[in-house]
Amino acid sequence: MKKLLALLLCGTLSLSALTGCGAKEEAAEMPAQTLEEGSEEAEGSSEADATGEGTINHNGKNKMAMFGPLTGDNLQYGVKIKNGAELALNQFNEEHGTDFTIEFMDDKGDPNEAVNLANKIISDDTVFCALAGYGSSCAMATAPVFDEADMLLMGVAASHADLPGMGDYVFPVPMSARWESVGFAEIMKECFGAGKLAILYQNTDHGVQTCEFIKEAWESYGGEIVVYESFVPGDTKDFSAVLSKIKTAEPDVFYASAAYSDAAQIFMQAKQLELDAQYVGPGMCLNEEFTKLIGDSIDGTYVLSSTPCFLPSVLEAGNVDEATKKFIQDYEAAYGESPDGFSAQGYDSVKIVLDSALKAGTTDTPAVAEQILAIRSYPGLSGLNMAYNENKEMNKGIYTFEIKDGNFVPVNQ
Amino acid sequence: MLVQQIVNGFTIGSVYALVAIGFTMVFGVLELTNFSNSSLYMFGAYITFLFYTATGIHFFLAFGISIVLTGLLGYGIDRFALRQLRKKKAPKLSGLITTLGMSMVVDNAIMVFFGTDSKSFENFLDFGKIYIGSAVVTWTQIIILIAACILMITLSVITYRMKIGKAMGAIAQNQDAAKLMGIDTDKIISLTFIISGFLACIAGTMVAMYYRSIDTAMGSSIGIKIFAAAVLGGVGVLPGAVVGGLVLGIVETIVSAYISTGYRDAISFSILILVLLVMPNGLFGKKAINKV
Amino acid sequence: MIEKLSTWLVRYKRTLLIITALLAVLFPWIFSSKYVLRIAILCLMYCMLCVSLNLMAGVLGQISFGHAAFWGIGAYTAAILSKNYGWNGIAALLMAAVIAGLFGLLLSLPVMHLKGYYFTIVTMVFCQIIRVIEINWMSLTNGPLGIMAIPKLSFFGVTLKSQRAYFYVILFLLAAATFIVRKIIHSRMGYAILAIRDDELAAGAMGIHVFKYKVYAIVISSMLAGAAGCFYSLYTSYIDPSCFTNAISNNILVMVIFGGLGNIFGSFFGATVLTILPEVLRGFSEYRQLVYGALLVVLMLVRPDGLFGSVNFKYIEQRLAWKKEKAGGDGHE
Repeated sequence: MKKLLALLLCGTLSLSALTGCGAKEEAAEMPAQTLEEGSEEAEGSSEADATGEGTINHNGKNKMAMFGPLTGDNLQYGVKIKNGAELALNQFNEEHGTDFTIEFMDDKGDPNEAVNLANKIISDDTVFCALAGYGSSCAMATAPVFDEADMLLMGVAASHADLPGMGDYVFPVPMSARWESVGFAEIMKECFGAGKLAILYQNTDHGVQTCEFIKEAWESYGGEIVVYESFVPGDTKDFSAVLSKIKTAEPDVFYASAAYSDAAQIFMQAKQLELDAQYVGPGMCLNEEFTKLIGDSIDGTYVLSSTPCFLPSVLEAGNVDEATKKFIQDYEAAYGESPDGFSAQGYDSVKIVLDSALKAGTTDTPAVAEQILAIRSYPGLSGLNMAYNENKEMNKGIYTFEIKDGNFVPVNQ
Repeated sequence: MLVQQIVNGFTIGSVYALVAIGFTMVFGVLELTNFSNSSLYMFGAYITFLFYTATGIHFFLAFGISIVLTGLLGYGIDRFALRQLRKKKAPKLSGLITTLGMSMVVDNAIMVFFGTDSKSFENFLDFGKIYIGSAVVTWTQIIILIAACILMITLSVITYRMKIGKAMGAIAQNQDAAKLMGIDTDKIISLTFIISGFLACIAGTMVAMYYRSIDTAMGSSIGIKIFAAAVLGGVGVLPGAVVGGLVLGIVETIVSAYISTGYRDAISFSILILVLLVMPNGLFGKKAINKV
Repeated sequence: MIEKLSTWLVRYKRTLLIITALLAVLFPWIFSSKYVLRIAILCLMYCMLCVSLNLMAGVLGQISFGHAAFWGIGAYTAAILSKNYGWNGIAALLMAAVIAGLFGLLLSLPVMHLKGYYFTIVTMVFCQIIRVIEINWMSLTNGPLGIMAIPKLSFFGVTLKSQRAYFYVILFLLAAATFIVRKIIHSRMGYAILAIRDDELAAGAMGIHVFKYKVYAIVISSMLAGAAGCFYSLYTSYIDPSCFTNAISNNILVMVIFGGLGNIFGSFFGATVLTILPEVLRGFSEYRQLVYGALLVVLMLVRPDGLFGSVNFKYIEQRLAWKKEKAGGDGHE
C-alpha cells in the first residue's frame, strides 16, 4: 500500500514536472502563446462550421500519401498505422463532408524504398501531405526530399530527436526521444532510486538514442551505469551471454530497450538465469502479443510508455475518456481487431493534419504547418497532454505500468 | 560466470547443430547450398503451432503432422523445381537461385498467412532446471543437445552404414555414374530432401519450445550461422555439422560475454575465416580431390 | 526465342547500339517524372554493380555473396570524406574506389585457396562483418542511424541538384565501368582469368600467374563496386547499414545470374528487369515478395543458365559474318 502511494506520488510528480517544463517553454515564447489562443478561437469557429459544409479550400490538393511497411518484418506496425489513419480520414470526411483521400504505399520498412516513394509522392500534384509510416530511418531518409518540395511530412512513428530539425515542414507525432528518455529516467529514479542501472538496448536508431539520453540523465542523478550493451535485432535471439554478464554486475534496475518480441525474450531469459533486479521495459511492450509471450513469468516488471495502452484489461481497470472509448469501438467495428499505440498514432497524425487544415482553411503547406506548430495540449488519442514546443518537438506525459499476473496494471493513473 | 557462459554456448550451439545437420546432408549429396533450409525450419515451427492452436489436438500429434508436412514441402521443392533443373543438366548455380526463390515464396507465404508478429509457443519440454555450481541449466537445453546428438548418430548410421547411404555417397561423387550403376537417383535425392525437411521441422519446433515463441525472422536470423557451422565442420560431414555448430555457439557466447555483444558476429565470423585459412576444408572435411 | 532475339541483336548491333545510346542520353528529357528518373538512375547503378560483380563471378568464376559489402564501403568512404572532411566529388569517388579495392585485396588473400562454397561462405560472412562494423562503430559511421545530409555531388564548385544531372553522372560511370570490364575481358589478362576459371590447375601449368590475376580481378571488381557506392551515397544523401546487407548482396548476384554469368549484356538486362520488376509488382502489395520469388523460380526453370547465359554472342557474330560472306560469294558467281 505504502509503495503504491509512493508510486502514485512520484508519477504525479514527474507528470507535473513535465507539464511544468512545457508551461515554462510556452511562457518564454510569447508569440507562441498568442498563436495558441488564436488557434483555440479558430477551433471554436471550426466546430461551429462543422455542422455545415467543410471550409477547406484545397484547390485539388486533397490527397495524403502514407508510406510504411505493408510487407516484410515490420508489417504488423505498418498495418496498424494504416488502419488508424484510414479510420481518422473517413471519420473526418463524414463529419465535415470533405473529400480527402489517402493513398498507402509499401516501403517494406526500407529507407531506400521510402525515398523511391517520396519521389513518387512529390511528383503527384494532388498530394498535400506525406506521412512516414514506421520508424525514424524512413522519415529521416525522405525528409530532405519533402523539404526540397516544400511538402508537409508527418513522422507517424518517428521519435528521433533530430527529425524536427530536418525541414521546416517536418513534424513528428510520437514523443521526442529526448523528452521520453528523460521522463523514463526520472520515473525510474523516483520509483527505485538512483542506484546501479544495467542497460541492454537494440542497435537501432531508436534504441541507441533513447539509451544514450537515459544514460546521461541517470548519471546526472548520481546513479551508476554498470552494464551498457547493445545487440543487433534480428541477428540475436539468445541473450543468455549478455544476461549472464549483467547478472554478475548485480544491478538494481535492468532496463531493456527492444521491440516487444525481443523484450519478452530478454526478460524471460533473464528470469531463467535468475537475474535478480527490477526489470523495466519500454512502451513497445504494451500489446497483446507481449502478454501472450510472457505469460505470468515476469510479474513485477515495469513498463514505461508515452503512448497509452489499449488492452481491454487495462481499459476496464482505468478510467478511459469517451474519445478513446469511441475510437476503440470504431476501430474494432472497422477492422475486427483491437487498436494499439501505433493505430492511435496513425489516427492522430491524420487528425492533426486535417484539423490544422480546417483551422487554416486551406491545404497550403505553410498555413497548415503554422497551425500544427501552434498545437498545445492537443486532445489526441496517442498520449497525455500532447504539445509541440517551438522546436517542433512533441511532448507528452508518461504512463507507468506494472505487470501483475501477466497483465499491465497502471501505476500512476 | 564462465561455466554459465559455456552452458549458454552449448545451448546456442546445439540449436545451430540441429539445423545444420539437415543442411549439410543435402549439401553432401547434391553439393547444393540449400537456402530454403531455414525456411523449412520456420515452416515446421509454424505448422506445429497452427495444428496445435487451431485444432486443439495433442501437441505431439501436431508435431508429428508438422514433421510429415515439412518433409512433403522439402520433397515438393525438389520434385517441382530442382529435379527439373537436373533433367536439363542446369549448372549448380541455378539450383541455388531456385532455392533462394523458393525460400522467398515460403517465407512470404508464412508472413502473409500468419502475420509478422511473434507468437507465443508452449514449452512441453519444461522439466525444471538443475544447477552446476552457480550456473543454471534447464532440462530443455539438455534435451535439445541430446536431440541433436541422437539425430546426428541416426543419420550417420543411415548415411555411412546403410545401403541407401552408400547410394547417397555415389550420387554425391557422380550422378551419371550412380544412375548407370542402377541407383534411382531421383528417388534417393527426394528422400534426402524429405529427411532434411523432417530435421528442419524437428529443429524449428524444439527451438520454438525453448524460446517459447516463433516469429517470421527466425529462419533468416540463423540462415548464415547454419551455413557457417556446416562449413566450419566440413560441409557434408554430419558429425562435423554438430561440432561446427557447438564451436560456433561457444565462440559467440564467449565473445559476447567478454568482448562485446555488438561486435559478436564480426569477431566470431573473423575467427571462422581464420580457421578456414589454416584448414581450408573445415575441421573434419576431407581434402577435395581436384580432378584434372 | 532468346536465340532468335540474340541473333537479331547481333545482326543489328551497330544500329541498336546507336539507338540505345541516343535513348539513354535523351531519356531524362523524355521522362521528367522524378520517380521514373530515380528508378532509371537506380537501374543504371545496379547495372554498374552487376557489371563489376560479373567480372568476379562470371569471368573469374568466384561466386561472391558479399558484393554489397564493397558497395557499402565505397558509400561510407565517400559519405564520411565529403561530409566530415569536405572532399569534392571526384576525389571522394577515387578514394572510395581505392578503399573498396583495398578491402577487396584483403578479402582476396584468405579466399585465394578456397573454392566453391568455401569462397561463398567467406564472402557472405565478410559482408556480415562489414555490416556489423558499420552498425557498431558509432564514431565513424554513426551506427544504425546512418549518415544523413551527405553533401550533394559537386564538380568544381557546381553542385548537382537535379535528377537529370545524376542520371548523366551514373550513365557516364556505367559506360566507363563497362568499357573497363570489356577491355579486361578482351585483353591478355581476360584470357588468363578465363583460363583460371575453367581450370585453375591447368592454367597454372600453362604458366599463367594464377595468384596475380585472381587478385587483379577481385580488386578491380571491388573498386568498381566502391565507385558505385560513392555515387549512391552522394546521390541519395542518406545511407545506413541496412542498405548493405546480405540480402542486397544476394539481389545483386541474382541479377547477374538471371542475366547470364559472364555476359555483360545479360547483366544489363538482369539489373534492369529485376530493379523494375519489384516496382511493377507494387500492385500486389503484400504478395509482392511472394510473386517475385515465384517468378524467380519459374525463370530459372525455363532458362537455367540465366537469360543470356548460354548465348555466345561472338559465335553468332562469326556465324553471321560467315553467312554473309557466303551469300556475297554466291552473288558473285
